[in-house]
Amino acid sequence: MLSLLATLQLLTSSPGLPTASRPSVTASGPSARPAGNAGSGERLYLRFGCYECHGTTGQGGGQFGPKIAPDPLPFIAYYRQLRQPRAAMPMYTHKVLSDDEVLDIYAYLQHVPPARSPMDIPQLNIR
Amino acid sequence: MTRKRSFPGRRDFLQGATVGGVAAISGIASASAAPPTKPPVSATGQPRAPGIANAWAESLPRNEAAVYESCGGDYMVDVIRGFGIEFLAATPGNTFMGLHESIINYGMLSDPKLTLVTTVHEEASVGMAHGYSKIAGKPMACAMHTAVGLQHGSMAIYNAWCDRVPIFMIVGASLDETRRRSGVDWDHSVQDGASLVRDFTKWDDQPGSLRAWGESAARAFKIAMTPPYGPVLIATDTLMQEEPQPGGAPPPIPQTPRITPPAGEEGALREAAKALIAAENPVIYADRLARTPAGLAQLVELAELLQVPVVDSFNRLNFPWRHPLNQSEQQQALIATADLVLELEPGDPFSLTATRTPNGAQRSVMSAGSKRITISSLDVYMKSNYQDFERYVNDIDLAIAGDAEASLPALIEAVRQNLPENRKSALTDRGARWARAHAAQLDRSRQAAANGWDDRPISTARLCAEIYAQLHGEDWTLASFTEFQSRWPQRLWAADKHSQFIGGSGGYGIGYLGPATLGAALANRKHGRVTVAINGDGDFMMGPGVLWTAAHESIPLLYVVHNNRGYMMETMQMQMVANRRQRGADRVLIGNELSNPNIDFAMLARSLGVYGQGPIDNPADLGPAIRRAIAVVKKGEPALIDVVSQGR
Repeated sequence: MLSLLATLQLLTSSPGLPTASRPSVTASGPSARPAGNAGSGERLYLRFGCYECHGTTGQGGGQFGPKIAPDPLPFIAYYRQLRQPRAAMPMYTHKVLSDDEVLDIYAYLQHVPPARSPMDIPQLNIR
Repeated sequence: MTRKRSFPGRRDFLQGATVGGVAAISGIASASAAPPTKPPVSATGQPRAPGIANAWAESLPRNEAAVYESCGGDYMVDVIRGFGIEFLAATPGNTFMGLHESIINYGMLSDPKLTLVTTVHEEASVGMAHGYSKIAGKPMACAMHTAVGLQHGSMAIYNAWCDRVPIFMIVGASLDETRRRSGVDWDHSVQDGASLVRDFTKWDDQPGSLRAWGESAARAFKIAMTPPYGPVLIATDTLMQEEPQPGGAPPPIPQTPRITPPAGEEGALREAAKALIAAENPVIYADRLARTPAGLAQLVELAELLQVPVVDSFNRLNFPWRHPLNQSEQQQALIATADLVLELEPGDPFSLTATRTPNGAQRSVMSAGSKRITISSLDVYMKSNYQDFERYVNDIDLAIAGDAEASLPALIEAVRQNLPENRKSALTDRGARWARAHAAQLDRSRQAAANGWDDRPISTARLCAEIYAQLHGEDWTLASFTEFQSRWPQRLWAADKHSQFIGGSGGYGIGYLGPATLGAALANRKHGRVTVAINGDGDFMMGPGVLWTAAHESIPLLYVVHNNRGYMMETMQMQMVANRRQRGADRVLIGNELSNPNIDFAMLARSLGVYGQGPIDNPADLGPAIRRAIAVVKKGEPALIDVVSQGR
């Protein structure tokens, strides 16, 4: 039987997500333009519970968590929110989530494809 | 030590037991009072079972060998249906067998009918009555076994209390301890059974005679239906239900008065009207305002008269979701910039205007010099123990005690009388601005719903949009609250009838949705409405037996299981706690997930006689599945779809 997390990983797996070269990261944060492994980031995104509030592809969960993908926040803002969150968000310290892992998750969010236009979705155009 | 007791003869034994019982019921002081006109006799004319004659006379449990020409239960049926109550939900219990028998053999066979609805848990009985009332606008009754039955029902009573909903409840009571059976009867007896739930019932009584029962029931009904509404409870003696009516004739049926709610004082309402007219940025906040369709219509009238934006708490359908003045999505910004907030039946006025900073401090978001006016029936009646009254608000400028719906006509009239002609042009401009804002918000919601549209698990936006795509041509009710679906129905659907949405549980007692939405569907049945409930898996598993009741009673309802395979709220909060302790997220699902094994809700539904589909995890399959299920519902039967969904 599949656990909740395993189910999510199966249902949301996106083979072919790219791997990028890793930038240097200082103790206080990354010092270069971020890059990471989007495939790894997707697994980490689920493992660390980001999906609980933000949805499995970052689409948002109403009052429980804003949309974070596609088009994520600039990396620095994203990084600060993880390390020193504003509003009701779990704090992800270095002990919980390494900078490499932070970069991987960001890479995943960057690779979430743009949404379809709502005009092309009949169910969203009911008057 | 030797005890001497005289044993009565058989004839005396029977008659004494009966007269004693009647005396106890009717409050007649002496057993020598007039006996029933048709005294009970042995049903068979044969001697009682061996050994029974050796029992103490006062210990004769009920009147098992007697036959009657009348009974208290029949009178109770007549009183209950005299209130216009059509249904009584119950899981059987032997302390209300007398009433139960009267309903099935008298109430259900004579007009106006009082019909018994079979449930498999007392929480379901109360929950059904809760949801029913919000559609029907009148109470449903429920009966519970003494002690353990009421204990089962207690959480649902608390929900109804917090949600300000009238329910007419009966709990059995074995008052004459000399006539209880040994063993279980004593385990299931209590001196003051209602005390268990007294903190969250509006009124209760334990009448001592059948005549008093009628009067207490009428008083209970009147209190329940006078805003603020609330559940009421009559502890009802078992023997009073079962035994003959004193004198062989029923007491008078008490007259039920036409009940009018308390309205706010006219002078205060005129003051509120003038403040609304003078304000540049007024906002109306509506919580449990619209008890009836009239409340919705009046709020539309007031808002349009002044072109004031309305924020709906979504605890009722107070205001049409697609009305241009509906600015519920902009609540925080509106409150922050308002110079006047008119709050109608606010349940939590503190949180409306205050926020919590990251370090836990609280601050008002309202601008300096802004004013607050409340109109609330909760200022008339509240209790002290349970804390559902929320934090005290110390910045209200004018608190008008009274039912908001009943107060709106006078407020509207005062606005009409005082609104200067030269103000109307500015108000029209204000309305046009809000209409543009509403249209822009709808566009944003649609754009947001498109994100994750093809995701698996299925997004809550798609779940809700697919339901509406199949539902929008019907006369429909969404009977479940939407907080856990990110309020997508309010963001995407059009609803402008009071019956289309009934809010939530009130007390956030989980297990509300299954029975309450079924009760709403029961009330909708005679109107032919399609009732839909989006029901979380965690909530649903609190009482899946309601599916059997839905099938058994042929109540048409579509249950859509928002199956995120866990207690998602608690999972999110556990994540917060674990991260604060820097222990990571790997184990937060322990105790919070509902998987290993996954619950097969469709199979569960089928096992209980309900049409079931799923699990559905491909979003492309969802629309057709909903269409098939609605076809079942339109035939008058319940249906369930299990949708593997995102958390929120």
